[in-house]
Order: sequence, then C-alpha cells, then structure tokens
Amino acid sequence: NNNNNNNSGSFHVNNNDPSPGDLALLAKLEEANRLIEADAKSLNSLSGSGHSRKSSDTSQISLTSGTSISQERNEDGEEDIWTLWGRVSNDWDNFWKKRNSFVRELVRKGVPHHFRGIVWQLLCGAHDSPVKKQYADYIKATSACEKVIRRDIARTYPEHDFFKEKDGLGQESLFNVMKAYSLHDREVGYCQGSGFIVGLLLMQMPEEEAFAVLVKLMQDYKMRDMYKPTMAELGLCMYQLENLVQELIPDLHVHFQSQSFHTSMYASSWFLTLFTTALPLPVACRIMDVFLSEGMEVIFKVALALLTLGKEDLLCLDMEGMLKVSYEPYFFLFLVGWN
Amino acid sequence: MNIRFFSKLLRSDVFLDYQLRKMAKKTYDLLFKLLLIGDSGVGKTCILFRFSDDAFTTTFISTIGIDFKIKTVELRGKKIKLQIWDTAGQERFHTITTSYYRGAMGIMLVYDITNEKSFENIVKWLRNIDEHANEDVEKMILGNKNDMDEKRVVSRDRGEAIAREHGIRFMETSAKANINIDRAFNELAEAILDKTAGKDPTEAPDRVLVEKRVDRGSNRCC
Repeated sequence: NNNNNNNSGSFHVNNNDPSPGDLALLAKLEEANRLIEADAKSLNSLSGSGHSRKSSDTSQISLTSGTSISQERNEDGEEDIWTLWGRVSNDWDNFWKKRNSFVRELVRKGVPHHFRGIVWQLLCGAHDSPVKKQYADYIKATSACEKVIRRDIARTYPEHDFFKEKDGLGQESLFNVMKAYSLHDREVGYCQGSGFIVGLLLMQMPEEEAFAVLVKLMQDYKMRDMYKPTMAELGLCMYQLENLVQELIPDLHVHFQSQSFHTSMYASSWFLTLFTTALPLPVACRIMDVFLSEGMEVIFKVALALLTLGKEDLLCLDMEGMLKVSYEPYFFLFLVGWN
Repeated sequence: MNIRFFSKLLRSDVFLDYQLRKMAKKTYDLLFKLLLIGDSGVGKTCILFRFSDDAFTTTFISTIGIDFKIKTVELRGKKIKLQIWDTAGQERFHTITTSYYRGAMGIMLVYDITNEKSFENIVKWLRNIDEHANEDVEKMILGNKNDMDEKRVVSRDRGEAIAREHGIRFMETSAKANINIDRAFNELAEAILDKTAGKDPTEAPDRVLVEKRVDRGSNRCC
C-alpha cells in the first residue's frame, strides 16, 4: 500500500485501507482501549441521554480491520465480511431490531469502506429521514451565514484532493451542505469545526445524504449543543474529560496541572471535529463508525486511549511541547514508537 | 511504510522540535506571552506563521479553539522568547479564547483591510480586552492583507484614526508579501520590554515570567 498519505484521496477517499502505519496506530489504540474499558464503569455514567442506543460494553472496540466475525468466515475472510455487510445493509431494519448487539459488534470491528456511505446513514437513521426533501429548497435559499461559511471552505481539508480545488466540486458541495444546515437550524447557524465533519461525510456520500446525516449528528448525538453559541456542551465535555483524566491517568493529570496544560488547549478540536483534524483520515473514519453506533462516549474513550498511549511521552514534555504535539495530526505516530 | 509519508514526518517541525527539545535547555532571558485576536479569516494564523517560519501558505485549516507558536528574538542584548497564542475568530469561541487574555502581556488586534466588518469589530475586540485582559497589556492594531490594495475598503487613515483614538500602536501588514510582520512583533515586544525593564521582574510573577537564573544584579536596564 503506497497510498497512505491521507491527502491523496480522490473523490471517495481511495486510501481507506489502513496503511501499516495506521494499523500499528489502530492496534495501539485498541490496546489502550482495553485498559480503559477495564475501568469502564466510571465511563458508563457518561453515556448520553441524547443517544440511547447503548451497547453491552462487554466487548472492545476493535480498531483493526474487521476480520474476526468467526461464524461468518471461511478461508477468504475478506470476501465474507463484504457478504455479511451486504446482507446486513440490505436487511437493516431486521438486523438492527433482532440482532442489535451483533450489528454493533460488527461496527466496532470496522465498516468496510465500500459500505460506509450507506452504513453511516443506516446507523443514525438518516436513510429514511424526511429532511432530505427540504434540501433542494435550502440550496436555493439565502443564508445569513453564507459569508462566514465561505471564509472557511478553502480552510477545510485544504490538502485533500477532493476539497483543494478552488470552487471545485468538493468545495461547492461542502458549502451547500453547510449553508443548508445553517438554514435548517438558525440557532446554531454555522460553527467553525463542523465543516470537517461535513467533509468527512462528503467523502462517503452525496450532498443530500450527507445533509441528512449531519442533521442526525446534530440532533441525536449532542453535536448541536456542542456548536450552539454558548458552547455549553463543549465546556461540559472538557470538564468531564478533565475529571476522567484525573481519575484514570492521575499522574498525567498532575503533570498537566503543574504545566498549566488545560483540557481546552488540546481537546476542544477533538470534540468539535470528532478527531478529523487530529488523526489521519482512515482512523477518523473508524472513530466515526463507532461514534454513529455508540455516541459521544466513544470520543471520551478515544481521548483517554490517546492520552494513555502518549502518557510516557507527554510526561517528558513541558506545556509548549505538549501543545505542539497535540496539534500535529501525525503526532500520534510518536505513540507507535517511531520517534 | 510509505517513504513519502515518512520523509514528511521527518521534515515536520514537530519531529525536529521534539528531538531538539530532548536536549535543549532554556535559552532565553525573558518570556513574553502574546495573543492574536480578530475576526475569522483576517489572517491571524498566516501572520503568525510568517513571523515564526518566514513562510506563507494557503493550506491552513481554520483555527479550532486555540493554537500557538514560539519564536525567540533578540532585543537590546536580551534573548526574548515570544510565546504567541493564536485564537479562533468566531464569536462563539470567546468562552475558550478569553481565558487566554489574562496571561497575555501583548495583544495584536487584527483586521482585514478588504473586510469592512472586521474593521468595525475592532471596537468589540477592544472591549473584550478591557473586560478580560490585564489593565496594562500592550496593544497593537494590525490592518492585514495590505498587498491587496485593489480590494481595499478600509483606508489607512481610518486604521490610524481608531488606533490614535485608543492610544494604541498601528501598522498595516501583509503576511503574504511579508510586509511589517517582523516589525510589528518586534515593536510590541519592545514596548513590553520597556515596561518590564524598569521593574523588578519578580514583582509580577504571573505576568512576567523571568528565568530564575537571571542574576538580579546584572544589567537589567541595559
């Protein structure tokens, strides 16, 4: 795989097969997750009221590619995962009702890229959402937020092939979806950061579908509370994460305190962009898989996993050093031992 | 592992910095904390990048929350480390960004000379400073993008007038054409140095972080 630079995707990100580097990172994340799951009880209390689908929490999030659904597997494991996902997505309602925990387990093991577009819609219930009908009207209307949205279009995935061309297809669809949402939800309007989530959706599906998923993410996954003008939910998440770090990684918490390294310095964008600006895109896609299935709790888990993985490195750095690495998307490569 | 990917990593500032940091000891006499504020899209990140890395690029993502850069400058024989905080311009990020006002010793208020609204909002940003920053914080107004004269809507006179009205320094800059960027930061740093040079540095520990090793008796007022 010589195409693991996440800036080199074409319309549909053509690099969603994780590279060896990504796999190593994923494996590390998985390992850290196990540690954190061991203390899952304290996390369970966080599970959002806004998103009621709760998994059994007995399993780990498998972040490596999905190949271990044993009962469906033969020699050609890869083929079978596709067949299985084909069946699940074709008979979604049935699977979702009758074999819910199985489907969730499957999601944790990885949605194959080919199915992401449809499975993301199915997971959040956007596939039969009536808001899709409104989309065409929104596109024709004028939004008060157009200027501010425009200002950020070229600053969203500026190095990604699909979005980098000025006024190209990617930038135009990004603008359309953001504008449509600002009309759909006047209270939130437009908030910086949301464009990265819309961009990630547009890498998987057309505008109208991306819009429907965005509306679900906003309404049912607390994202609109995150983006509201007061940003109260973001403040709450910062507070919760800080307390979780104190409880689960106490020595890191002490170090952060002594360095005046505040949670908002590193974690604001984690919550506001769901890791799309912090991690390589294939990893961000995997997080989105599980986020759509399990909700905001997943973001806390990934955050704690990253901090647990990076603990030894972070403990050696002062505030400036920690800030630098936490803003660098490839910082997390340090965590897999390439420093 | 992909060669291109790895070489990109090796060239990245973070990697080099991380390596250097392992060995580096503090190499400055004074630490000044600066803050960049202003409407979204006026060029705060580009100004900072021009100053810290002497380069211009259009491939920045919008600043989500807060970011920062470091640059050490030498003024009057003193090595001064500038820790410069960059902020998200959108109004709703104020709850996050205003918490950085308090520690700032110098604040750059940036507007875009091709964007009337960003200029009008300078008054609002000044009010924010009054509410959240230290009283004696050094301020400077920057009218950025002055390489784009054909699109100018805010005259230099208006910029100068508002600065005069509030008794603040003013400069027009261009991060793209590298106009006045170094000068702006140096002037702001000098103003802070003027203020701190006369004082005993230990008197204001929360604002002026001075290396403890600096000998009190040494030529502070050089």
